Amino acid sequence: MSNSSRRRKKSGLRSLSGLAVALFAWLAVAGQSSPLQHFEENVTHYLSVTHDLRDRIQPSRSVHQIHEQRLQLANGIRSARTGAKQGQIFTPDVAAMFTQLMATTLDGPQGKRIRTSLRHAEPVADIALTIDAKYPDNVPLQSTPPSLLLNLPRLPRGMEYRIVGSSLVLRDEDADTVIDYLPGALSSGSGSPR
Amino acid sequence: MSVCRRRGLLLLLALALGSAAAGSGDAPPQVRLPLEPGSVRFAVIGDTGTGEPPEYKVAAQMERYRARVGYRFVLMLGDNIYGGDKQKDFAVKFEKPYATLLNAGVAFYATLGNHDNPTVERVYQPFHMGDSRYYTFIQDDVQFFALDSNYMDPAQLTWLEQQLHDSKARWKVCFFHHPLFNSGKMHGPDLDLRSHLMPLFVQYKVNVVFSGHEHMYERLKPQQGIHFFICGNSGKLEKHDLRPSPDEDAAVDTQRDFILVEIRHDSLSFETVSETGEPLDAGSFPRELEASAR
Repeated sequence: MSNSSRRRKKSGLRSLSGLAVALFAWLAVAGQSSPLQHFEENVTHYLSVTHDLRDRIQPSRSVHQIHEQRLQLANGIRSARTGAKQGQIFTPDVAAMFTQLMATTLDGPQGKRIRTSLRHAEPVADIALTIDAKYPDNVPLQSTPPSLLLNLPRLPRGMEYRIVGSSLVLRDEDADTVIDYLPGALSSGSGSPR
Repeated sequence: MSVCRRRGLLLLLALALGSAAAGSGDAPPQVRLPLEPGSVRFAVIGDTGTGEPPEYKVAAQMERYRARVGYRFVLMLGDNIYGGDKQKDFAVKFEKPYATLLNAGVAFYATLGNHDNPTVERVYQPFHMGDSRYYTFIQDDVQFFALDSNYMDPAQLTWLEQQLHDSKARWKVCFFHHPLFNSGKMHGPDLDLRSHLMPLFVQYKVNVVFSGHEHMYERLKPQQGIHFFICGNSGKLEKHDLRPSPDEDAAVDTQRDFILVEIRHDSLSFETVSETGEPLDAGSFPRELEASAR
């Protein structure tokens, strides 16, 4: 195993231990299944609902055609998730777990570095977000620090974490839509990232 | 050219004196690259996609130099399309300014910046991303690694390590949007990204890294044996963005530019050209055989 693999495994283990701590804490509250399991179930459910709509976006020289494909997918997702609201993926127990994970990460040894990276990344101000709506035009996609990604639950292909203002956003990479968001997630911990 | 420091100063003065008329008219440019037969030649641009006249001005100089240098492809360092991402945006901000290059068969290899829409750009065929946020390609002795610095998740880090480990290329060149080192006031370096990428770059002997994001040009002193270039001013420009830095070898923050690169065997030559066709920086360096030893 290479040094960097070992480093990342170590780092991953640290993350896992942080995750485990949070999970144990929340298991005590939740009683039975863990918030992480709930999150994975919510994500799996989202993907199962939208599964048949994917693979429609094919590479093209035509931007118009790419947008048409993307729009079809986004419309299909909206139809399949009629009435979806904020908190459908980040249910209360999952939201609490993420808030704890964010706080642990931002207060941890990498916290200062993460905050500096967030400041240098051309931060996006808080804006109104709508579930299953297109990610707002003309708003940059702020980078998500690698150390933060390392400490959050892994996502399947097609979904990603993004930062918008102080919110943690779950974005559909293919449809370019907001799946869910967790307001105030970056305000967790002892210091604000900005 | 207004900002040049220390070692860069003499070089830039010499370049300016030697090519006072280089940028004027239709005269063929005087190029300092060796232009050796069989070499790998390419151009590098960053933060281009404004659709405004300065982007077109840089693009015109790129075509002028292509006729002389014969480069076959261009690395794009992100923020390829600012603002909207509709058909007309791609036309005005990419297809029209680089039409002559595209028609001449020059290939553009894009990376994603924070102003790009990955959903659209990764499947836009002229950007050669192959429906992926990160990818690699090989040109003779050189392997290029296009990374998505907006979203360096564990999956991408694992992929990068595997690709670097498996690479048999003589030269390894990485390019992505957010710089690991730079002296800009507007953004500055991405320290968290640096902490994850530098160990890989050093371990697997990456030779050169190109980044954008900071809207100026900067060439740094080698960091742990790796050469870093910032070129975030091929469309956008943040004037007087530089702060003094001991890590800097040459820098420009009052003009837009692009970089020409030529690689042959164990030598890399570069020339940075302004929007008016003036050479701003030039030089060459050998491939470091033991990058991790320093």
